[in-house]
Amino acid sequence: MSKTLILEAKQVKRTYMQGKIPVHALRGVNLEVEKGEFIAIVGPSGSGKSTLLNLIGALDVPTEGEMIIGGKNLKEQNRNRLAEIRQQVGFVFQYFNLIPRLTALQNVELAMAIIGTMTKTQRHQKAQMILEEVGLGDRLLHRPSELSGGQQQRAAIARALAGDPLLLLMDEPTGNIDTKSRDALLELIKNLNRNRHITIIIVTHDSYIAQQADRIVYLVDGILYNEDPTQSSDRVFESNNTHSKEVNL
Amino acid sequence: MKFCDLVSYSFNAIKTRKWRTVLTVLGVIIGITAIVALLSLGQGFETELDRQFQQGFSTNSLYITKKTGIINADPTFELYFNDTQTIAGFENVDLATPVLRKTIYIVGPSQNFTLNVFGINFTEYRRIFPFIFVEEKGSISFGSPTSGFVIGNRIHKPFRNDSIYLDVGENLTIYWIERNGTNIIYNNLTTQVDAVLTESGSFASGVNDIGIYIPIEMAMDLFQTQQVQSIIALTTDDESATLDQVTTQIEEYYAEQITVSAPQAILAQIQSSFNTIETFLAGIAGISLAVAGIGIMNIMIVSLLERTREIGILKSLGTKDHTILFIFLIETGIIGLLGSGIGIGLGYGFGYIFSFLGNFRQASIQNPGVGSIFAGVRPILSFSIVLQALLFGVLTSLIFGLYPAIRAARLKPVDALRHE
Repeated sequence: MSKTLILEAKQVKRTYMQGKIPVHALRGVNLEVEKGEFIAIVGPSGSGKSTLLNLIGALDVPTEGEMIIGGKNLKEQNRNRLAEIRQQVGFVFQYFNLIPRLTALQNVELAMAIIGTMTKTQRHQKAQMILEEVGLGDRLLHRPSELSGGQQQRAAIARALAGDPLLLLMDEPTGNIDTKSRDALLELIKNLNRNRHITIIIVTHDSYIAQQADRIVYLVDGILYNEDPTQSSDRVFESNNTHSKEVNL
Repeated sequence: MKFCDLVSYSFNAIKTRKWRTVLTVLGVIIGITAIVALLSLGQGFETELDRQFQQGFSTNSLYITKKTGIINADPTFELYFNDTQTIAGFENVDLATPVLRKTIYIVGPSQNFTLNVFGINFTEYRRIFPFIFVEEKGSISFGSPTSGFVIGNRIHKPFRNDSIYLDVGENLTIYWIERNGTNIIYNNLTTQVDAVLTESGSFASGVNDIGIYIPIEMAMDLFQTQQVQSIIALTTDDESATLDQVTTQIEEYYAEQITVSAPQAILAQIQSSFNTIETFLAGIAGISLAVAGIGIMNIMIVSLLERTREIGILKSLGTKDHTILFIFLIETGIIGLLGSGIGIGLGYGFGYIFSFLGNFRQASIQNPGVGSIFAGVRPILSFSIVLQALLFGVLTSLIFGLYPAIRAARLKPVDALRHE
C-alpha cells in the first residue's frame, strides 16, 4: 500500500524582518506526514514552533523551500486558494480562539458556513453531532465565557473537525487546561486518530503528551530533528550547516 | 460563505453592539429626514404650483405691463384703457382685456387691511380664467351693469375654518386716497357684496384671493383715471412662434416701454429659482449625511480594531478576503438601510408639520411673507423620492464603510490572530 502524504515540507525557511534585522525563525525544515499519523512536534520556546505551525496551517507562506499541504504547494497559491487550504486544516489554537459572542454550536456551524457547501439544517445537525462526540452535548448553547478551559478546547476541536479536515493541528493543547481535562483530552485525541483515522499534529513542550504520539520530532533553533538534539549529537534532519553559524535572534 | 449566512453573521455582530449601532443609525436618520422633508415638500410645492398655474392661466395668454427698472424704463410712461383696443387690433391677437388696480383699505375687526380693487371686464375675464373667476356664493353679474363687489375667497373666510368674515349681501366700505394736483383727497365707498369667488391659491395671479373685483367702467369712474396696470392678451394659438411674434409686435409698438410676459415663462422661472433653493437646501442636508457617513467610518474603524482577532479567526477558518469585505459592508449597509427607512418616515412627517405651520401663519386676511408660499401645499412622497433617499443613505454608508472594510479584508491572518 502506497503512503498518502498529507504534508510535505522541503527545506522550508521562514525569515522575518524585525526592523532591519532578519530573524531566521525556520532554517530549513524537512518533514513528511502521512495520512492517519499522530505526530508531536516538541521544542523549547523560541525554537520556531509557532512559525512552523502557522505554515502548516497555511496562515503564512515560507520565505524559501516548499510547503505542500494536501498536494498543494503554498507558494503557488493566491490569497483565495490559501483560504481554501485553511478550510482543510483543522487548527486548534492554544487560546482556543472561539468567537465570544457565538454559542459553542454557532462557533462550529460558522466553520461549516464558511466552507459553504451545506444547508443550514445539515450544518446544525452535524455541529450537534460533533459537539456530542467531543463531550459537549449538554453545552451546545453556552457561550465560550460560560465554558471551562477544557470545554472551550473541546468546542475548538469540534470546530476544527467541522470541515472534515485533512489534518488536525493543535498548538500546546495542554497549555491552558487542568490535569484532569488533560487525560480526557488525550483520550479524545487518541480516539479521533484511531477510530476516525484523523491525521493529528500536536505542537507541545509537554513530554507526557508527546510520548503518546506515533512519532516525535524535535524543533531546535529553526531546524527539525528526528531525535532530541539536546540528548544526542546525531542531527538526522539537519540539512544546511551554514545556518548554524548564524546568531539566532 | 452564502449571502444569507453573511447577513445573519453581520446582524449578529450589530446586535452585540446595540447602543453604538443606534447612535450611528441616528446620524443617518437625521440626514435622510432633512433630505426627505425638503424633497417631499418641494414636490408638493411644485405640484401645487403647477395645478394653480394650470387653472389660473391660459397657455395662450400674455401679460402686458409697463416696464419697471431704473435705467431703461420711463417712469412717466403709462398704459391706458384705450391701449386695450390697440393691442386687440394686432395680428394673431384674439382678445385684449384691461386690468385697473387700485390700492384701498378696509377696516377690519382689530386693524386696517391694505387690499387691491381690480377693475376688469367680467365677461372677458371669465373667458381667460374659466376655472377661477367663478363664484362660490352669490352671482357675478355678467353683462348687466352693477355697483356691487365680487370678493376673493379669503376676504369671505380669512381664518381657514368655517367662520365667515364677510358674506354675500353684506355691505363693505373701502377707503382710498387720490391726488388732486398737490392736494390729497380721502374717499370712501360702501356697497354690498354680490359674489364670493372660489379659492384660487397663491400663485394664480389672475384672480387674487384677497382681491375685490368691480367692472372696469365703474373703477375708472370711481378712481377718476384711465390708467390701467396691465392688459391681458389672448393669442390665437399657444405656439411659441405666435407668442413671440405678438410679443415683439407689442414691444416694438410701445418703444420697449412695456414688458410682455408669458405665464409659461413665469412658471418656468419660478420653478427654476425654486429648484436652485431646493438644491442648495438639499446640499446642506447632504452635508449632515456626510457627517453621518464619517460617523459610520469612525465606528467601523473602531469595530475593525476591536474585531481584529475575530477577523484573524475567520481567516484561519478559511474565510476569503472578499467575504470579510462583504461582512463589513453588509454591516454598514444595514445601518444605512435602517437609518434611511426611519428617516424617510420622519422626513415625510416633518414635511407635514412644516406645511401645517405654513398654513397656520396664513390664518389672517393678509398673508405675511413666507407662510403664503406653503398655502395648500402638502408634502408628496413619491416613489422616486423614497428610492433616491434609500439609495443615497445606503450608498453613503457603503462608501464610508468601504475603507474599514478593505482594511479588514487585507489583514494578514497571522497578524490579526496575534492582535490582543
